[in-house]
Amino acid sequence: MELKRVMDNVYWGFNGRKRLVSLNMTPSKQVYGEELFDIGGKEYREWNPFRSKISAALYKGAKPLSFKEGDTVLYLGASSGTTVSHVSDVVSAKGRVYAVEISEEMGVSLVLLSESRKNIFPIIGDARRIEDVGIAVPACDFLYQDIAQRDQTDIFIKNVKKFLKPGGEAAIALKAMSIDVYSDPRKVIMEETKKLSRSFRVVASIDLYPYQKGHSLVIIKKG
Amino acid sequence: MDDKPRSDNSKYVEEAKKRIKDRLSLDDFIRKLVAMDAETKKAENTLFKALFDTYFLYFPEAANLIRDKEKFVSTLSDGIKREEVSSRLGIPANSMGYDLSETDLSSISDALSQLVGLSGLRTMINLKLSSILEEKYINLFKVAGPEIASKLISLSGSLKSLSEMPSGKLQVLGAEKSIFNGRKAKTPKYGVIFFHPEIQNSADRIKGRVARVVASKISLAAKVDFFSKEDKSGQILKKMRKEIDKIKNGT
Ligand SMILES: C[S@@+](CC[C@H](N)C(=O)[O-])C[C@H]1O[C@@H](n2cnc3c(N)ncnc32)[C@H](O)[C@@H]1O
Repeated sequence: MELKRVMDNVYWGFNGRKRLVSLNMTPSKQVYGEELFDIGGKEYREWNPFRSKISAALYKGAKPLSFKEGDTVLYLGASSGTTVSHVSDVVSAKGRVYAVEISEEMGVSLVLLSESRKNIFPIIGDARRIEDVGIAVPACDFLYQDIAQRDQTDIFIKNVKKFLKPGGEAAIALKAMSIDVYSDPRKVIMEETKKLSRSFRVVASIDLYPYQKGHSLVIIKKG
Repeated sequence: MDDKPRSDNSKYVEEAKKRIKDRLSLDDFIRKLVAMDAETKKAENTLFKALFDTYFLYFPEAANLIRDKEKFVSTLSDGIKREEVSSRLGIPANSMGYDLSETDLSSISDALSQLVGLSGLRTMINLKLSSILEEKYINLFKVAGPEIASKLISLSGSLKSLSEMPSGKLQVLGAEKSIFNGRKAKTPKYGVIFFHPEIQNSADRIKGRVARVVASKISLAAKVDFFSKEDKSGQILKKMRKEIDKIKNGT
């Protein structure tokens, strides 16, 4: 397979068909049943766009996100760690992913994942009130949020203001359905994007169809 | 922790484990058991329907007489062949049904034991729920009864949220859920407390007012269980009786 760099430790692999892969930080270990590839003595994991919205955005032609090796990333809505594991590949052992998840059921997988990937710092708690968890979260180079809540945009704005370093970028996976079931999804996304633009500069908005239905990834920059 | 090497996440992992452990509580166990009971009940009904239809094909004259699940199981548990069942029901053994082979019949027998197994499982789950409630939430156990109490805890999420809930809301808790399918239109005034014996045994015209009393006493029981854990059920039940009698006597 031929590799073309996308972000640190992330590549488009070509062998007949094009697919996104990330350098496996824990060789021979799969996280969610993804395919593993051996290329030039290194192991890569397929980054599945149907399972991960960041991957979907890249498949849809988004420009590479700004986080890189050694960065500190704050990840809100970590779930069992599917996407977190790829972010962990990107920042590598030199970086850190602070991964916040509210549900203890999802948290179990996330915690077990963190035991083999030492750069994941799991936090079980509500992204609305990270301070209540009573554990330190430092300023971060990149913030990513994927939580299906009605107030997701407000949660994102609050946390970007609080934790993202000035000049840093952040991305939110917006799910129209969880904000407003009755209105046209495109209109909902537009409203939310407008809300974001009152606090930050909106850099890009990517509709993730057909990989993720009713979802958009919106990227902002903090002034 | 900042002077440790850059990728030592062990403090976070330990803290996360602790938080998960703290949150997986007795109330969660109750919720899971209630969910398991509901799923088992669904499985039981699905299997019963399929089994009934198959048996109907073989011996419609008998099947017609045992449409009720309990009756179906008790009638067939000692043998399902026409010769056996006909004498048990006092009907002729010759039938309009389709003749099934020995092996087909033994498959039906196997399925029947699975059905019996499912209902045994439900009995076990409910015994477990009952003993948990009796041991840990004695006031709810006595005032609401174990079945209603565990459903209320499950629906509200925890004893804490149940104890904080206004009794008007407690009264209709579960009304929107599937257990009320079909009955929904008739009983918007009650949720799971509808099955409380005090409500069941009241005349229709006073059911609503009785439900209000029952809900308020269950709410009180939840508060006592949450705050003091003392057994005050005797007093609560006495008060409940008195208020319901008042309604019944029209005073
Ligand atoms: C769509 S999933 C995230 C999937 C994940 N980002 C991935 O790609 O692997 C949303 C997650 O956010 C969590 N969540 C919802 N509300 C939350 C909150 N207020 N704080 C933290 N996590 C929350 C949910 O429990 C769920 O696991």
